[in-house]
Amino acid sequence: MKKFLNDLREELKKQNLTDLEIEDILSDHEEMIQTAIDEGLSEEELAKKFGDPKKIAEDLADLGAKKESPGSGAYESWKSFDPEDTLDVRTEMVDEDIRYRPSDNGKINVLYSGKGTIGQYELTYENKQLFLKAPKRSGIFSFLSRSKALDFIIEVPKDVRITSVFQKSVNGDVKVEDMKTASFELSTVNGDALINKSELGHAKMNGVNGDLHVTDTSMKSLKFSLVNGDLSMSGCDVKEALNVQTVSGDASIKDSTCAECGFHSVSGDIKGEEFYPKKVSLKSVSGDIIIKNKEDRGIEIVRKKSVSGTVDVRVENQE
Amino acid sequence: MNAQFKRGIIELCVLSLLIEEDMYGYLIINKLSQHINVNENTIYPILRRLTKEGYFETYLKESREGPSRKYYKMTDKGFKHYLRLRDEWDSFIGGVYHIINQGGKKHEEILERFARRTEETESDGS
Repeated sequence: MKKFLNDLREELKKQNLTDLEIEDILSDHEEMIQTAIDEGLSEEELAKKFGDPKKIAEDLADLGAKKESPGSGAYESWKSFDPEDTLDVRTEMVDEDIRYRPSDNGKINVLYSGKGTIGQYELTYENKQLFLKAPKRSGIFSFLSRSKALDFIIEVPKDVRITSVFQKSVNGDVKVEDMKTASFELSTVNGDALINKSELGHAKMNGVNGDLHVTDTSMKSLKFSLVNGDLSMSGCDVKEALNVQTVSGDASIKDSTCAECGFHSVSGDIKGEEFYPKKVSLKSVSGDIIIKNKEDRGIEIVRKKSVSGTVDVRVENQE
Repeated sequence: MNAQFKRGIIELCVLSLLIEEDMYGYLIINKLSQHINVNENTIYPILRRLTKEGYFETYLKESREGPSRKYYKMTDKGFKHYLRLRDEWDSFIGGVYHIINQGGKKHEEILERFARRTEETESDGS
């Protein structure tokens, strides 16, 4: 019994629980073991009944009051793969956030952080495709899967050509930094996306409430289709079409260029500043396109179909 | 068995025991392990979590043998939680039984059906 309690104390300490919590758990165990002994259980029976201190400590750690959490937010490596010439990334997430960034060890690395159970996640790498899937959290049997979401980092070496990044998520956010991919597609309910200093090729985002923030990024095309989500772009170049479809979401575009900007909205507006599309088209009920530029590069209004919305391009030379 | 699945079922069992009467930790473990293959390892963390979530309260009571014991008592919140889990469980397990019983209930029934099906496929093949 002494040994069991000592082992348990050590294991609980490893889990970073508070002293108060540890004492409470130990006194519960002391009482239970004492009762078992009073009832005449043999050493062997005791061992069978009480099992492994390590496992108890791990199970308790999930719900216990933790001490300061120096490690919180720290990522642990999960799996690494040897890359091939191209890569396709596909993820299916629920609440998990994912960050993409370049790898500095020549491998594809997947890191995770959080209190969830990593074993419940599915990760495969075959036929040049990386696939990461979160466990389902079913409504009716939610009590059977009381799991917490983890957050992930996916690192890809810069010399690997990423042919596509496809992510499905409910609440999870995506952060992309310094990456180059031929296509990028995000389908979300509430998740946001943050893209910085990247090349996305053909980019698509669709969903309900998520926002998209893109900075210093070039794209071949961007199709943004959300109900209430907002789009903010700055320092971006869209070589071909920029299509924005919202019900009430707004777009704010700064220091960016694109070939053709198509805006389709009920009440959302596009506000541009130093925004130079070659052509614009508007289809809205009350949504406007308002652009303030310093240079006159000639913006052609291809089509305007709106009840009360307008396209207003102003050149304000401040010199 | 899948660990999460097992934990869910044990949670339901622990709650069921405490519907009957207040119990101390070892008694709960003992009662459960009489019927299903579980040990303290699995039960205690569940007991502790349910207490933290406000489904149980605890109090100390002297025992005849000497030292006082921590008793677990179900709260109103615990009762409500139990009812909800119980409904989920009944509808799930009811569905499962409906499905598995379609092949027959008793061993003889299932074996007989299997023999019949084997015959059918053989005669089809000839």
